[in-house]
Amino acid sequence: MDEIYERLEPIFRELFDDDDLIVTPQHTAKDVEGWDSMMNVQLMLSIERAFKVHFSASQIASLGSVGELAALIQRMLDQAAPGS
Amino acid sequence: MSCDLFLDLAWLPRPPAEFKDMCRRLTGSASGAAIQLLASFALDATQSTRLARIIRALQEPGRPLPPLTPMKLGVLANGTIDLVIPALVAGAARHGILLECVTADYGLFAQEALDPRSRVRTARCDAVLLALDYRAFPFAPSPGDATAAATNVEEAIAFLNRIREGIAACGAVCILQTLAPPAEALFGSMDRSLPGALRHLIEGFNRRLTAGLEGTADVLLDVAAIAETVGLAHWHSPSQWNLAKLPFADSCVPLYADHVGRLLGAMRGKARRCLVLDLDNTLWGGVIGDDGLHGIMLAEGDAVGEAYRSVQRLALALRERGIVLAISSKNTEEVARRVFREHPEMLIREEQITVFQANWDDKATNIKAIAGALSLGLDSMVFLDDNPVERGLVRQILPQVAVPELPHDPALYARTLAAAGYFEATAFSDEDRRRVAYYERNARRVALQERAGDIDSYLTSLDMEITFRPFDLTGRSRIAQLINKSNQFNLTTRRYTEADVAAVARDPTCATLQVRLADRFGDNGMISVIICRTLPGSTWEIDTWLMSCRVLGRRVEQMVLREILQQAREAGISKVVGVYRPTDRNAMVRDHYAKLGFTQIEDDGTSRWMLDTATEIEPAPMRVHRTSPADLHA
Repeated sequence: MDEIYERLEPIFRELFDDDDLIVTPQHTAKDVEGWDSMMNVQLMLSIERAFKVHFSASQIASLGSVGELAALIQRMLDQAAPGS
Repeated sequence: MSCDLFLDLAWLPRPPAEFKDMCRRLTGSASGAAIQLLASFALDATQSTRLARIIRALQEPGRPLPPLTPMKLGVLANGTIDLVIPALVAGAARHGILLECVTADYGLFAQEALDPRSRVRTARCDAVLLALDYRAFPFAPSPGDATAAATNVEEAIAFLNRIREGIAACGAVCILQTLAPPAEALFGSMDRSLPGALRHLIEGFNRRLTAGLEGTADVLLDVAAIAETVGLAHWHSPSQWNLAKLPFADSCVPLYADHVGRLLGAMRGKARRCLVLDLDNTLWGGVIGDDGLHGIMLAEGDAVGEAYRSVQRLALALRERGIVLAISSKNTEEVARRVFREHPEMLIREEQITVFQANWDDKATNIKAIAGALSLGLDSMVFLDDNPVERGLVRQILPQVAVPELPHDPALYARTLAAAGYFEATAFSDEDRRRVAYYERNARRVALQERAGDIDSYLTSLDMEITFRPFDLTGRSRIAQLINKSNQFNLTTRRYTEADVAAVARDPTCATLQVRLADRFGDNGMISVIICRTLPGSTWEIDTWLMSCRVLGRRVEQMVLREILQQAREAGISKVVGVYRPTDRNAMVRDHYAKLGFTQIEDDGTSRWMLDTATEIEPAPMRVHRTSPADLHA
């Protein structure tokens, strides 16, 4: 799980253009300046590219915090590589 | 790393790790050339956004940023185009355009086009891109009903024409897109032949659209062709359409934006006009100076030969449409020209090359001379070369020249060159056809002027590492191969068998060197071989000195001489004698010893040269790893 946060942080920093941004599980869109719906789409696309996963619309709609996002990524990575 | 030729813009170099810092430095300098340089990397979405943000900040009315030409582009789309805008700005800068985009609010493309007071119509745009996909049009499939199908296509075209007229009224050129059909078939293969099937309707629309451009100033962006090239299943992403109404998959944005950029560039006269070709391993397989006329690979029916023939075929097709061809090759001119004159499988003839530069000077200097002879700017030139070191040198010293990256497999060279779209055109006339003849008549004598730039700093950036070892068992067969194959950079052209090589290695009166060179592009392997024989009077005679032409111009010779002198001193030798035995292949090293500071002592056909071993030779920018004979015996 730590590894996922380590990979998420540069994606957030790059996208929101903030080198000091720290990503925590409690983070929500309200906590980050500029995190509007268009940014959210870009964030999801960046994450899909970086982790080579694909989210469905209902998965994206269900997300409420960075913690839930990280958990979703973890689940999808586990499914992609069973047993590892 | 595997790289998709089209989606990853594989012809562009990957952005360096310090791309972000380079962008930051741009803010202070405000140079159009620096913007274009940064835009010429293969940028992903975030990198384009970063660069576009800085470009926007530097864009002030009345502040020119040459060589970029400012252009204002309205963008009307039926989907969400916001994500594409930064990529468009970066893609345009890559092709010489300083782009400002004016967009409409989501879903309002028709209103914006039709309302004379709308944002896009009042913005004084130079051009308006109608980024519409099939979902923007009132297509109503009517499988099997040819009359209804024809009416439906006319309705869609009429709708498009009303939008075009609205845009034309504000004085802007329209950029019209063909439509990419969806990947989902209804019947199957029959969708293409059945009137009223969606694929059939869209094909009808595309045909009517392209026919309707004849005689107008409007310009075509063939999105259907781009989508076909990457595949419809890659182009259309149902998930991303549903999520955010992205008209095509985000993975296709860089390619789409580059296509728009080349079109805008072509509209402003920025398309390239001259293709400069390397010869060895670019126009044919192998090295003519070493492999000879019958050794190079160029035959029809041979998988390797055909790869190079396809490069020649593309070059000839480009020439037919008015692109000037030139050669820049490290070769002896006569040897290189002979291939054009005598090789039966050559497709390009000598007279089809407007400027032919085969010499041993660096390629940046040569390309500059070619541009001068043609009276073309460096920003009109494209340089095709299989060797990453030559590409890097030209890119660093002449950043205006477009230099495509090439994949390992020569079969993909032609495709890569074509994919890069350097020669985009919006019109084709008789004048274009005659252009090559014009350049041929007007080409001036090529004058190689002073060196084109700072070669030293480029050599330093190559991060070279040279390794010296005496002959050993591991190197033996490669040493023998080089001794028997090297013709051009070979001072004496003495051929030895593997047994001879082994004997020399054991002979205490002989000193030997096998030289390897690595750089940031990889290991070049063994590139030079030296044999010195001890003569009376504490003298070494250099019996054999050869080098691979691939590492010419990198100061390897100088470092080899340093090593020879050091080993000579260690062995108590006071003089080194070099020998040059001329052949019909090795004229390039006639002055080798003179250049290195030797004094000529004899010339009876074979020339002999002498140097005191106390001579200090300046080191070249590379790290040295050496194993001297003393180390081996320790």
